[in-house]
Amino acid sequence: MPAAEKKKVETPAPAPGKKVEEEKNELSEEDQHLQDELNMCVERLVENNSALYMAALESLRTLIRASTTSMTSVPKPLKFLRPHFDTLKEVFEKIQDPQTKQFCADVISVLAMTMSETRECLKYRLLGSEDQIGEWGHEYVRHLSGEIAADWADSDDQAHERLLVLVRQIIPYNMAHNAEADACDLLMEIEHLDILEQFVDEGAYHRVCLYLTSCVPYVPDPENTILLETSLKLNMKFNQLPQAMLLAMQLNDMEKIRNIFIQCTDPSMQKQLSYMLGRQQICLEIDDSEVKDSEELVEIMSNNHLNHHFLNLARELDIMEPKVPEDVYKSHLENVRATFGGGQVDSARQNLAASFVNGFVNAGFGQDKLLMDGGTKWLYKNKEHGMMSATASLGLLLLWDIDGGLTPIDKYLYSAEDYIKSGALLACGMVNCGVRSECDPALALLSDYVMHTSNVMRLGSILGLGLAYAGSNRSQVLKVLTPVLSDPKANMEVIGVTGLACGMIAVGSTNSTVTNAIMQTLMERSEADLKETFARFLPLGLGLCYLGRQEQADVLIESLGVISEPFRSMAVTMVEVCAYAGTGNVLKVQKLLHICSEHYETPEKEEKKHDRKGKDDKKDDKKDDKEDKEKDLTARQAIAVIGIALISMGEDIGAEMAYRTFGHLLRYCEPVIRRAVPLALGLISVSNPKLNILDTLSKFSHDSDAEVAHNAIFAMGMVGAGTNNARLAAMLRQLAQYHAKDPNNLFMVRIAQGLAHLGKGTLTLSPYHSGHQLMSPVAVAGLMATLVSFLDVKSIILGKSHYLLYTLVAAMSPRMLVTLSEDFQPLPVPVRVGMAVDVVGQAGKPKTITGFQTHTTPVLLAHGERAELATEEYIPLSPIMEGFVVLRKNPEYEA
Amino acid sequence: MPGFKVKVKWGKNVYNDIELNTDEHPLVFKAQIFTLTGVQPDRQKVMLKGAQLKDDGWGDLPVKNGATFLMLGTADELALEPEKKTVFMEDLSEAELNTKLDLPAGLVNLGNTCYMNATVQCLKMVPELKKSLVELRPQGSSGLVDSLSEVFRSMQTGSCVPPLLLLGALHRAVPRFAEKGPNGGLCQQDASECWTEMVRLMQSGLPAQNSNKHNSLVEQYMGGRMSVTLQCTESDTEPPLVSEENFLHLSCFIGQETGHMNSGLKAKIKEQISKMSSSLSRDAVYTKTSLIDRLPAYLTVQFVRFYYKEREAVNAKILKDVKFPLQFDAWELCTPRLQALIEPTRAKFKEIEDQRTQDALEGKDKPKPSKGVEPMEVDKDLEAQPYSFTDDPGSNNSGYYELQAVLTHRGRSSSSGHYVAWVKGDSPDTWYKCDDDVVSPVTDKEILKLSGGGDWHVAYMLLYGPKVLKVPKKPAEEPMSEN
Repeated sequence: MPAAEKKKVETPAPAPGKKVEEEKNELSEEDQHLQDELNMCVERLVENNSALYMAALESLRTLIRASTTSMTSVPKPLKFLRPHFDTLKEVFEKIQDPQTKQFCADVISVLAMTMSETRECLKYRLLGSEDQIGEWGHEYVRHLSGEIAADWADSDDQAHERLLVLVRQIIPYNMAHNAEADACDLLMEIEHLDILEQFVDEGAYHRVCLYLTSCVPYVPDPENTILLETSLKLNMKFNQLPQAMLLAMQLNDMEKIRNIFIQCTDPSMQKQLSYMLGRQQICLEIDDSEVKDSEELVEIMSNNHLNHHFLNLARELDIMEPKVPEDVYKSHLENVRATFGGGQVDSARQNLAASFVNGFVNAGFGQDKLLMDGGTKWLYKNKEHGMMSATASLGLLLLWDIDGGLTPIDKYLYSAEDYIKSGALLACGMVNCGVRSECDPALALLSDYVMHTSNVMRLGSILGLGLAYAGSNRSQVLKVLTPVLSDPKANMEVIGVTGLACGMIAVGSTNSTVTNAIMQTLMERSEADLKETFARFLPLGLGLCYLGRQEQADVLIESLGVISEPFRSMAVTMVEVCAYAGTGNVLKVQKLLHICSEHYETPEKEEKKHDRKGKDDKKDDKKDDKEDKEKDLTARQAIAVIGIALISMGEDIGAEMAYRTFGHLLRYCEPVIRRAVPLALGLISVSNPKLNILDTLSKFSHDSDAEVAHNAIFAMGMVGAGTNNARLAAMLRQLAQYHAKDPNNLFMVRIAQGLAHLGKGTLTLSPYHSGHQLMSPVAVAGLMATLVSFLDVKSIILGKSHYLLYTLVAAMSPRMLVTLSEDFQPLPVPVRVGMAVDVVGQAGKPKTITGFQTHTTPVLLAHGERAELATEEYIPLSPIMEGFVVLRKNPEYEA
Repeated sequence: MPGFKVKVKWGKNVYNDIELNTDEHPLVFKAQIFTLTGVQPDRQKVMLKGAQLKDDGWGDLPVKNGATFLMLGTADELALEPEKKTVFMEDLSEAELNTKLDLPAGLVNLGNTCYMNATVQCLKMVPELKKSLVELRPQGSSGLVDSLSEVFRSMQTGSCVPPLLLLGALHRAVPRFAEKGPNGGLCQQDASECWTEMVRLMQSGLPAQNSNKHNSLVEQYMGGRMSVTLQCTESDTEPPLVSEENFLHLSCFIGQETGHMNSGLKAKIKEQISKMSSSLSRDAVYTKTSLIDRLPAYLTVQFVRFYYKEREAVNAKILKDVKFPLQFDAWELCTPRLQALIEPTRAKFKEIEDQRTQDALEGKDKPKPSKGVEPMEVDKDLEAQPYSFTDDPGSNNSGYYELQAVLTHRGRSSSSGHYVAWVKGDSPDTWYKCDDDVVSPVTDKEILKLSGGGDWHVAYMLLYGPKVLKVPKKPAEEPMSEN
């Protein structure tokens, strides 16, 4: 933040004559004395006796320095010298002796701080003696920094050199005086962050890094990357590998990650780093030549332990007992008797909802009461595609359990029903989501079905592969999937899901194999094909490849130009929003808002067409074309709305602004935008049930536009996902009552109820972790896939493709803190868990949490909560107490 | 020599040092695994590094020493399709759905005929009446009884019925119901009148069953007998005049004080009337005491909610909130003679009740089930006792009643507004709201909300049925027939 805007002290120009007289009269005796002394010094300088100049200046300096400053008023000596500013400048001109001249320049420079609008402070500073910059006090340095920053832009290289000299004086001063933030601001302003490294010492680097990283969302690219890189260098300099690793992951720079990892020699620290990599689902290919015990570390990175520790937590919290959907619905608290079902007749839709809810609620626990106990009975209580989703929910139940999880699914692969087989394939994929095994069971099992003759089987296996290898960028898997994209026999649903799966696997990798294959499909497929609802997943696949890659996506966007228009603008917007996901880039948000604000001339007609779609025969080709174009452009608007949320979800201020904008969009915009807004609201606050967002969503869950209501209800589930939030639960029960007679809305309510109790309240869908600093691309991919399918909720989620809800699996992770001893064993220690406090820019060692409670690990951490060790006995190896933390015995601890 | 020592992982089990020879058929290897795990070779999926072992050869599997194979498979039974296909409500037509859900059929409104529809729905709640109507042989005539029986029969199929014939018959029998409004449509009528007329018409159409005391089925099951005593208050010498009155419904008058149905009914027991006294030869004040001497199995209670406002020439409604119970005890309304008669049955009720409380206290009873399914199962080993005196079928032998149906009115006068029938379902606390052709399930809480006091549906006619005594089944005892 430039100091140039620091407020100038406003004082009226000194009026001569009478007014001065009056002022004099009000002065205290002490002030009078000071003023007289100053006046005398100035008089001396005006006189021509050059011998006295030095002494006069000396006493001026003493007087100025002796004054105590305060925030609100100009120091007395400076105030009294104001009338003499121009006189002093004249004096400076006439002084001959260089040393005295410099001395005089120093004094004028200080005086200029309160006076000039032009950069005279800096000008005279450069003319002055280059003595200690701090001598004139902190305010002077700040002012000077401001002028340097302002001057930098207007001057040439030569001037820059001279300014840099000054900067090199200011930075150490700032560092030594708790003003790290000012130092960083100055360097950011003049774009010379490289200097920082030499001046930061052991005591300050932590605060500097914190400040730099907290600035990241507020600066445009590519400066944000520079900030991160600087911070990374600083951490490396002081050997803070965990922080450095976090930053490298934030940069998504595999080379840096690898270097940091290999550089580490401490075996416990290696483990800690491996856990952190595992959380971000990065698996390094290392062998014993580079790192010792590589096998063990790779095992950690592949998250093989996740299921084991999660179950440990569940046992600790005593929540192993499986829950049935009714435990979550609590319909005995609803006032109406359910019209549907009533126990006597099975409603396929409600049973399907129950299958999902059962999966969500018992996710990861490995046991339930519907599927594993009841055998196949429950599966046949679902209809066709419902069977697929019901079978696939086994994957949720057995999440992350690659050792024991595949066996219970295996028997369904022998079923006579294609839907069940397909569901079992998807389940196999889900079990492996985020977890890697050296045997690659998912690849071995699923790849045979990718080219199966039945489309249903293909869907299960392709999406399964997409989930199992999400984020891995495994060429072996992509090689199996990409041929599907050019398969003429595949229908658009298969093509779309393949595009999505490829995108999920290659998320954020800019993998050209995937982008080329998808581009090829987009060009080859007919326009009619691209009009199908599943075509929207192809650009999503492209976008996911460039997730968070910012300007690197420009080339891809350029090449999208070859596609014909209606689809092009949607695809371009999709890729663009994905590329800037989580960056908080305000310029992009503005651009998206602009897209949303466009109104098309015939919204009503367009609406009608939407309703009559299908029935409509081609009446008037020209008119039809026009309308089609409009329809597709509105598809772009829907993406833009989600994009606003996607870009701004990373930081609080941006999210807050997005929330306000969405209010306007809801009120004034086209139906297609209104339908997307609830989803976007959900996205900015995933697994964080903020009251204002819940209230807004609750309002729109009663909307007369059915799709707005569906989306709002689902978004409520997303916002409260895995929190067991009582207020949300009550809201949803009330909604279940309100929508008791509307099977579609009731279905949504059930799904939302299931999500709210995701993993019995132990899981989160939030893509942010490690102190809300790091965005998991895999999680974002999962969320985006779900949200994009909700853009056409009627034909996708409420139609036959509800299995796409399982893409949420990619975003699921336990919100737990597990502490481990250096030899891998769970180590229960007391920890304080409380609300995180923002400590950016604070001096000293401020408290980082407030309102804490002391628990024994393993514990659950809610959104915005932070933990710290409550014992001196151990030292955590990671500064961020989240997920898995290795503890080391404190050598200085005495019991 | 391509021999290797490999690991095989099966679920959580790991088998180390298994000999593998790539010159041999893969089935040999699978057989080896079979001996270890008990999983048939054809159910085994063996994989290594993202590839599956095919039965025709080792292919290009990267087998090496110490490699870990993963084996999937269980010895479990395979998933079998259940024999009975699940029927989904989404696939059913509305009529099929109603039958499945056991919803009573609705009746189509033919233009302000909700009063008739509601009445028919309520009368259908007298099982004996319904049975005899359904079993009635069509006589080809188009009388009310015939058409009603036709309607009941078609309602059994579960679909919505337009009661065209019934309406015609009703109009012929009671011409004033055919009154037309100013714009040619039918007028709304008083459901209570319709009820009375229908019951009256049925009196002549349906004979009594197993009883020689009564002329008609309606009287047998729905008619009661009141013992009326007239005592002159002004003369001590005049002997009380005792007479008998038959009634088909009890009226609950709503006065200032009436807050509950019981008090409204009790207010009728003792009345002061003035009457020509034969002994005093002048008009004197008499106390009229009306007590019930015979309780019918099905007791109709009518709330006298409408009074004729002469000025506006309408039947205005009293909106006052009058509570009514789901379980009604008629003890206080009975003559001492009847009280003595019903006492033994009531004692039995009490005995059962006490037994149940005792059990509950001692915790013998199974923990209270959360859903309404289990009480029915508990009922299975209970046996229903007849609710009538053996010498008088169609009477009530305990004085205890349970609410069966409520006919409500919504609106401000009897000839306007809307009538709806609320009838009890088979399972406990299930009720159905029969709003013409729309039938929907409701809870008993909602029934109690019909007590009035606002512009919501207000109870107008209540139909109480007998509370059936259920005693634990004695295996040897022969079930007694009711009719």
